[in-house]
Amino acid sequence: MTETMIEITNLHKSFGSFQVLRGVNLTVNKGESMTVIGGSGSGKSVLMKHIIGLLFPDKGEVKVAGQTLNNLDEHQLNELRKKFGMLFQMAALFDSLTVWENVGFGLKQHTKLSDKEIRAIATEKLALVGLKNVEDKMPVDLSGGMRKRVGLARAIAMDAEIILYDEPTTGLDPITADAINDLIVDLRKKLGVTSVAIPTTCTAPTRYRTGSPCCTRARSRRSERPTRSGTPRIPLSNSSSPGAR
Amino acid sequence: MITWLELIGKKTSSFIREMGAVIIFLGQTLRWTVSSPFYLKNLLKQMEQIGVNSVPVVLTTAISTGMVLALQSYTGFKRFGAQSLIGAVVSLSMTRELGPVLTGLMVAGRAGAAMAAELGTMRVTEQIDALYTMATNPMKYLVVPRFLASTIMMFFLSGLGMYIGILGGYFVGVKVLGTNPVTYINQSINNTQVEDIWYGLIKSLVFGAVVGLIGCYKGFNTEGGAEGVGKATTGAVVVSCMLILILDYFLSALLW
Ligand SMILES: Nc1ncnc2c1ncn2[C@@H]1O[C@H](COP(=O)(O)OP(=O)(O)OP(=O)(O)O)[C@@H](O)[C@H]1O
Ligand SMILES: [Mg+2]
Repeated sequence: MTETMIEITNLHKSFGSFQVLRGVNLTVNKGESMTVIGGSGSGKSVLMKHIIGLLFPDKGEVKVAGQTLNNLDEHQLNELRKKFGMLFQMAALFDSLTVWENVGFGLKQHTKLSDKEIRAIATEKLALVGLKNVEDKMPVDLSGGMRKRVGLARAIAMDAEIILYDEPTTGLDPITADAINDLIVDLRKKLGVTSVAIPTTCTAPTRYRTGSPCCTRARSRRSERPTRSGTPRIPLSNSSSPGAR
Repeated sequence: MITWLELIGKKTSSFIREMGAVIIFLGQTLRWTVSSPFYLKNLLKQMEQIGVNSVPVVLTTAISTGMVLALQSYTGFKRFGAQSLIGAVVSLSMTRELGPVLTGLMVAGRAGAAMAAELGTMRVTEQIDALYTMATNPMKYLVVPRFLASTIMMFFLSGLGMYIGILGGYFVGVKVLGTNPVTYINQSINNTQVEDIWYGLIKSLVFGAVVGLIGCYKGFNTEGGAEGVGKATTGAVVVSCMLILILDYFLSALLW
């Protein structure tokens, strides 16, 4: 149960002269839900992109399932990425494809399932996020919250081992947001999914407190900023730092 | 004076640096072109978008060019009684030069811009990142089909342009200006070799590759939101038109 899934050590990242991450450390065990919190622009999304190899560290390393991402060739990296599902902050739906093609994209690329089977799975995953009769719509015809949920359905469509959620409930009404949070909890409990989530800022204090069902542990992004580099990990419940809202 | 030279120097050096990046991008594209998987559906869709949808502009450009060419050369040639040569002038210029170049420029403006805008939007809305996370290489999935479709379709569009241009020239030369149709056709055929057509078509393959490559390169490397997409689109058209004109000279010299 304490097998390490994601291990980030001393991660540094700058864009040009602008330093975003300075010495981030993070360990996520298998079957665990980790929440990363921190102020807007503190580098949460950037950190998440390092975990799936969209960005690479200037210094330090990222290990997933025992493999250091820097050392992988393209093929190995792709194999590793097949273990992942990711929900982007802005959903990042393919706007030339219909909703069901979006949800079924990974299945289409990496399995031999027929379009009919893929569509059925897409419909099922869309139902899980509370969407019905949207399969044939184009992403531009959906509301922001609906797009987000289609993105979520796409992230969970492949039954990934590791799922990264960048603000899964942003733009949703409280009831739908609750349902989505329950779904995330369910995925962990029933399927043993390992996840890293960035909570929606305003619901964070109640929904994502350490010990709440949604996450098993929480890490403050604030603590990895230079001002607190001596104390790399602060559970949210102990923190009154403004960066860790 | 110095600032002028400085400006030219800076522009040139940034252009050369960008061409270096383009060549690396070309290498990657070619590598992905020859390795599986192949996205046939994407290729066909792009062939339709780039090729079929460009037919109207190519037709319009070609027919007007052929007609104007016949008219202008008539005025000039009449002065030394060489009207019978108009046919040869039109067919030689259309096949060797104007068919491929004008088609290239029109397709760059239409399809190259569209490619850059589409890929640029996909870049700034993280759709390209999303492809990576789903273990699908965007070079393979997005760039290769566009590059191939643009190269292949430019060949056919250019062929069409040559044909329609020559027809336009014939119409003006024979029907409007009253040249003898038999002489017109004979002169055209006697002075145009099959190689001339091939030269034009080979050029057009290169131009097609340029349009696809630059459109994708600019779109793929877009930065900075909607403004960035706008810049990428303009850049794609400007750079591919410039490259077409520059390469046209060298190809003409090479294929002489
Ligand atoms: N590709 C990039 N190029 C340059 N700067 C970037 C890039 N990506 C992110 N940044 C910068 O890194 C910083 C952190 O960005 P990030 O998106 O991780 O913030 P965040 O913590 O997710 O904020 P939010 O809660 O608002 O989503 C920002 O200042 C942003 O401007
Ligand atoms: Mg973010």
